[in-house]
Amino acid sequence: MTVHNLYIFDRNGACLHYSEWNRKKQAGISKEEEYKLMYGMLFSIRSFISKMSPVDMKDGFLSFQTSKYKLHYYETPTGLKVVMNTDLGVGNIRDVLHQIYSYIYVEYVVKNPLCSMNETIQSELFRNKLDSFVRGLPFFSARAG
Amino acid sequence: MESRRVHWLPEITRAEVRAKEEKGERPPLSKMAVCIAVIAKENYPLYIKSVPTENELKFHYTVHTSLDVVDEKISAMGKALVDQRELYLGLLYPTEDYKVYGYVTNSKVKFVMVVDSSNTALRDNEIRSMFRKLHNSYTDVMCNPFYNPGDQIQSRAFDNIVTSMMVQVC
Amino acid sequence: MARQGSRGGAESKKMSSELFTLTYGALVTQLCKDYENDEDVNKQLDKMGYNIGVRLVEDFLARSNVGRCHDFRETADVIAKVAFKMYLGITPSITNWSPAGDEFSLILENNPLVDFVELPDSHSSLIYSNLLCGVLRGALEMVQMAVDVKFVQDTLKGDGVTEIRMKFIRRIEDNLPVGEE
Repeated sequence: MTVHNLYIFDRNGACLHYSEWNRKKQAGISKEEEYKLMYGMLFSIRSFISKMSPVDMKDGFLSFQTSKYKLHYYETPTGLKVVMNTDLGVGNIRDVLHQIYSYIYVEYVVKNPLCSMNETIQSELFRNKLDSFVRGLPFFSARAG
Repeated sequence: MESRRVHWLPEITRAEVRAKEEKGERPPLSKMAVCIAVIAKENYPLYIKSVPTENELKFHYTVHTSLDVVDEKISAMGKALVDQRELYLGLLYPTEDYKVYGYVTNSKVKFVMVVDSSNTALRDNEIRSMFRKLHNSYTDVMCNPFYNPGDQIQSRAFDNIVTSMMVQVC
Repeated sequence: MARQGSRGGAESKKMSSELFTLTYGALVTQLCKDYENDEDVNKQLDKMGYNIGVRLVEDFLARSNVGRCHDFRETADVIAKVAFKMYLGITPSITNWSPAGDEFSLILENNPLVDFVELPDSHSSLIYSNLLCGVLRGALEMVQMAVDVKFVQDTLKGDGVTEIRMKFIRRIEDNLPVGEE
């Protein structure tokens, strides 16, 4: 099991943070382009899913998977989106994404008055905390993948 | 309780103190003061109120004279007072018609109360708790963000407390 | 008010409510000194509250685990019973719903911001606790609700209770960012 990469988007679709761990292949386009594509896809999936859902749903969509990777999605009521790509062995990690939001994003970005909330996160502290949090996850393992 | 208020220990909240007072843990005070004054550290009046039937100037004079006694008391028993955290100075001096009592806070703000000397019902303990009540109310005034320390006290709440301690003397 | 680092759950650090009240008092009176008239002070308080609100709501969601509300009534409940309790330690009551269900009042029996405060006559149009309006407005805006918040009664002005009136204006829809096809 392993974690490939992580995106954080704000409510307007700006990518606030990106980091990667065991990513073997790059998209071959600029990072900005990649963020836009990713957000565009998420936005479409989200509205598609809520339109097509046969029952009223509260949490939106949680994840999708291909034959090679699994994309986990978590959105807060304020529209912040946390997206994590892992390999297929990882189960439901909604809690983990919520923890990233509440213990790392809220603590080190929201509560830091010098951190602007709608542009790329510059805080070194935030990066370090996030990195060690992800590395400490039980399904994070550098040798796999 | 009074030292707590004065030293501002955060664990006891003002609301609790107030609740205790409202429950009436001591009997209602006999309201007998004829003049009450608050004097700043630098010895100018922050507040003075006397019963309207009497000559106001006379009380100003009485209070003014009493300040010397206050100073004397503080310097005489200063050390002992600090040790016991005792703020009540007791009877400052009696005149023919009145008794004058004093109280000084740790920040050297003085409270002076003039009582009719014919009023023998008023015991030392009651005077003491009247002062304590005044002090609590004064602390609330200080906590009002619109009050500038050193200004004349114009608070309605404080005024009501003082009025409740005074009665018309016939 | 602040929460313990990244370890803890929902526990919060204790802080003297008097220190909090006095800090807010110092803030308001300083604003009164810096601005000529009370309307400007009210505006500043609202702005500051707004800035607090947009951040505070994130903390609130992180701590409370409250999901998206289905209707305005649920929102009202969460504000009164969870948010006010969490940040100010009081639980206002909700009354006076408009027939359309888009407007209600929060009644605060006891407003912790105004302990000790006596409003001087020279500041009769000052809305002392206007910060709260800004906080509510900012926080709800972040969860896609535009609301109008104002004080209609205030114990500082001699009313029996403090009443905050909240009116739902519209839902803010999120849009695809510009430059996206």
